[in-house]
Amino acid sequence: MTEPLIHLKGLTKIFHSGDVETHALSGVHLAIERGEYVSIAGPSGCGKSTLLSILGLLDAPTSGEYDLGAQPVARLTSFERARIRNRQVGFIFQSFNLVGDLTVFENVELPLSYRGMAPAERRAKVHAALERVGMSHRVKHYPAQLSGGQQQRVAVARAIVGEPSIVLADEPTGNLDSKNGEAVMNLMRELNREGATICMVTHDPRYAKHADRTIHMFDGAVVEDLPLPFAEQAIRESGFELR
Amino acid sequence: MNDLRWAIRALLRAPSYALPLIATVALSTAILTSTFAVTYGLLLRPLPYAHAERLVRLYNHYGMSNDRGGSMSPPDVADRAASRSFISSGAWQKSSAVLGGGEPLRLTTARVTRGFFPTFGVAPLAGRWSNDDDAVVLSYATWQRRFGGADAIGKTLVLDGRRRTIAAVMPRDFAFPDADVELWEPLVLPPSAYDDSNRGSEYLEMLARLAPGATLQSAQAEADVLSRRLVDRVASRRQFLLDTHWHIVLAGLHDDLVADLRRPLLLLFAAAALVFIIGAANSLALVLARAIARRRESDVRGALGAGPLRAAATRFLEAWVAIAAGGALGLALTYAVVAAIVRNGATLLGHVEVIRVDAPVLLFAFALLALLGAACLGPALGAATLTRWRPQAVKTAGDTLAVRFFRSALVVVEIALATALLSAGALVLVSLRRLAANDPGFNPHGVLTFRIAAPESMRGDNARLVALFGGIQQRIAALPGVTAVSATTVLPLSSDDNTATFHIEGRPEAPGDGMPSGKYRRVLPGFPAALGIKVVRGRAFDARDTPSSPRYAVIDEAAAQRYWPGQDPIGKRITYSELDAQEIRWRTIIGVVGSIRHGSLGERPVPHVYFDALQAADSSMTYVVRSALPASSLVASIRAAVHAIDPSLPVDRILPMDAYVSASLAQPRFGTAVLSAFALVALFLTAVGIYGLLAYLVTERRRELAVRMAVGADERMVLRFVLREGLRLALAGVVVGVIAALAAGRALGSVLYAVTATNPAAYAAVALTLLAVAIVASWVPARRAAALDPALALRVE
Ligand SMILES: Nc1ncnc2c1ncn2[C@@H]1O[C@H](COP(=O)(O)OP(=O)(O)O)[C@@H](O)[C@H]1O
Ligand SMILES: [Mg+2]
Repeated sequence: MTEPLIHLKGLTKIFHSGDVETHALSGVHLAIERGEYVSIAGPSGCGKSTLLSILGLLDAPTSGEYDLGAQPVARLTSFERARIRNRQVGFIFQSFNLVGDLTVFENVELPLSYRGMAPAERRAKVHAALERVGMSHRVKHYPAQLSGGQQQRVAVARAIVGEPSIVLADEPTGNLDSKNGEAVMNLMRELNREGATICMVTHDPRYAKHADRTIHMFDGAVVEDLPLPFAEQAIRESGFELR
Repeated sequence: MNDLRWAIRALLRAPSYALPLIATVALSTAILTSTFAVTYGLLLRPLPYAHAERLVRLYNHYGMSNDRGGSMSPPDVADRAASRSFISSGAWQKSSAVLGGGEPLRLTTARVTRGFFPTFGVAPLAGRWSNDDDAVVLSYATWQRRFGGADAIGKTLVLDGRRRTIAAVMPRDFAFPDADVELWEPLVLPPSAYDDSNRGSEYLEMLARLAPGATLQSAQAEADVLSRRLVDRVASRRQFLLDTHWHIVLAGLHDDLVADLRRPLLLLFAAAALVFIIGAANSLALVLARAIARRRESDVRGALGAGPLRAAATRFLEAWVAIAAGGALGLALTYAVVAAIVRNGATLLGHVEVIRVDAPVLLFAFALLALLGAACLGPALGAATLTRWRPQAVKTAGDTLAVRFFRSALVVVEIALATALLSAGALVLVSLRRLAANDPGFNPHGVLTFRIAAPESMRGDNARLVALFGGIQQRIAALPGVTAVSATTVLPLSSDDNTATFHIEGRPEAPGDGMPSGKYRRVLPGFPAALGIKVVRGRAFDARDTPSSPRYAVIDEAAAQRYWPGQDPIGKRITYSELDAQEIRWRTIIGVVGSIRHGSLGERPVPHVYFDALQAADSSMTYVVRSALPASSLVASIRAAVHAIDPSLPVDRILPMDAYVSASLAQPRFGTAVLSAFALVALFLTAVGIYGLLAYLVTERRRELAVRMAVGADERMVLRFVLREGLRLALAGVVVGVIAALAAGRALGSVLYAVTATNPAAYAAVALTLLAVAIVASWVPARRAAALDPALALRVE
């Protein structure tokens, strides 16, 4: 068996704010293979976003091991983390997080310019990515001139433009109506079919079923790790309030 | 009422907002209000005389000089006084008198005609005017100093050996002709002084009050008619008066007093106004940032049914409280600054007694604060209603664009104004350094000067005067450590002067302005050596010259070049027609000495002519003593040497020559210091402004910065990103500021010396300074941005 793309071993994350210690993650074991589409579910505050931020090297774990593509990445400097984020991770956020001052084109170009890529190459890749999400007709627009669904499609283009090893999405449909949410989900599904590895946090069982596999978290730990279609049923039976 | 209490409480809980706001308001208000107090006091405040606008000065103006004009002779004063345009007039002569009793003390006095006090229409504080020749009038300060404010009327003083009775004490703010006048004594001239033959003895100053119905213009017209008539009055003077375009000139008293100060004061006022605008921009930016940061609060109030004014009430009320506190602090500062100016500024600004913080100045300060308070309503209300206009505004990072633009514009304006101020400061500084580097033409270092005025009894007795002044020279020359000693009637860079036209033998008088003229001084032998002036050709006066020698003159290079270009002036003969009126007595030029700058270090040297004081002594001379000894150890032996000749003779104005040099630079130095201080405050406020804006931007855009980090920007990139933001503002401000400074440079041109208002090096230095300050001010917010947690991008607001 080949090495998984992502391998977490006994990962913990403790936040200190004042005297309060929050154990956001307590001993997470997880492996994600290349080309997998994983969804993470669980009640609010159970540590989903924290897990995602560590997966995406936005943050470092308090303890435990994290191998990304066979490279140990749990204890890197912030500069090394920035470099890996830039090349291997693509983020999609609930609130789109497009930079308001920049055009659609410039937003998508952002990760490539931080990489120091030549302008001509950047231009080709940005156009390809926008083409892929169906937003190439809006390159000169500013985010404020787009609908929520369009903004999220641009955000998807920004996440995939650098051909990352993994795309991480934190409730990408949370700020969208169901029609636009469905469209973004279909887009993710297609990207996965074309070979992208995706890890997505979602509350919505309708969207969770898009994934190959659902990880269920509770109180900072992975409590169930089920391939579809069991996941759906498990969530319902768990009795947690889903929002 | 509740709103006000909440506002004060909110302010107390937010020192990081309150303190910079209060400090900014205090500093900028103090600077502009003190400058206003000085400018208003000197330029606008009515003089403390009855209907001061009806008072005029009169001058004898000779067309060849471009100054206001000169003093008048007693017959001049008499015929001007008879003019129908005047209801009354007075004349005076600045003088001094020795106060007896104890160590002889010289008082600065003004000898005034009978019409002098009544013309001002100011009642004495105590006593009455007296026509008695022995009556004197004390200044308020002298009265306080000598009598401690106790009744002095009728008491006596011994002045120049004569017993005088104190007839009156003047009020505190009566300081005419100068604030240094300690006492007024009657000017009593013999009837013969009014003879036409004395038209050339111009030593009186004159002032008159316009008659009802007369205006300055009508009075000048009458004076013009009189001028034409007077030209023909004395046949021997006719040609001279025509040659020199002589005429009588009138000037309003107030305009006349402030003529030289107006331009520099208005420039300083403009500079202070710029500082205030920078401070105001800073204050607005602070209020706006605060209102944006707290807009949730006003949103909630709005949701609870408050109108926009009520919803924003806490914001602008707290701003008003801070402005009031800053204003109070600023006023306290203003009082301190104005008191310091009044205490120390008399030599620089003249009539400082008119500078004070009173109703007009307070009104000005309140107007400034009210303006500032009104301006703060804008950002407070704007921020509170922002979300109402655009309910979606908070959603994406770009929505506060309008606010961000407004704040950036404020900071760009600040930087531009600071650039303009700093440029002005740099130009004035360069100009001052060039001025100070000018060679005065003599060596002031190691020279001590003092003045001796012969006792009244000796005046006009040449033999006794020569014995006195020559005797003092000999005794001081014999002191150990003294390398050279001489004396002159007029010291360079002092406020004294004597200029007159002369004739050159065999040279036809050029019509019009062609008449030769020169500053003339009577000097004791050895003058060039003592003051360090080089002898270029021939010789200076020395031991060979005695009262009975032939009549000689020594001229300087400026005179040689102007009147004998390409010739050797030695052996040529000249005469001062006016001085030697009765018969023509020629003087032979025996030497040429180096030129000196008399009026200021900035002026081009003008011709000087030196006579031997031993042949025609004046009644007072200023000695120059060159010695390697420190001045302090020299003073006692000089006093002893003088008192060995006459124990009752006061030794006045003991000053190193260097003091005259630095006094001549005092005004440009003061202006430069004030402007530099303004520029530094401006720079500081601007730095605070840049810091505030970027700190606000980093807070406001922390999510965007986190997103940039999430997609791969590392700490260095974020740091650079914020620094670039600061530099961009600075560049925009510097460009606008340099353009503005170039445009305003014309105004500055008149106070600059040997440097043009377009000096590129000065602007380059200013631009670099501002960019450096911008980087420093951006550094802290930039560091804070680089330390942001990138995981912030995942958090939902
Ligand atoms: N930066 C932080 N500082 C302190 N506590 C945090 C921080 N981020 C998350 N937490 C806490 O960790 C726990 C998990 O949070 P999060 O991962 O955001 O949950 P989820 O995304 O599943 O709703 C919560 O209790 C949250 O309050
Ligand atoms: Mg979350």
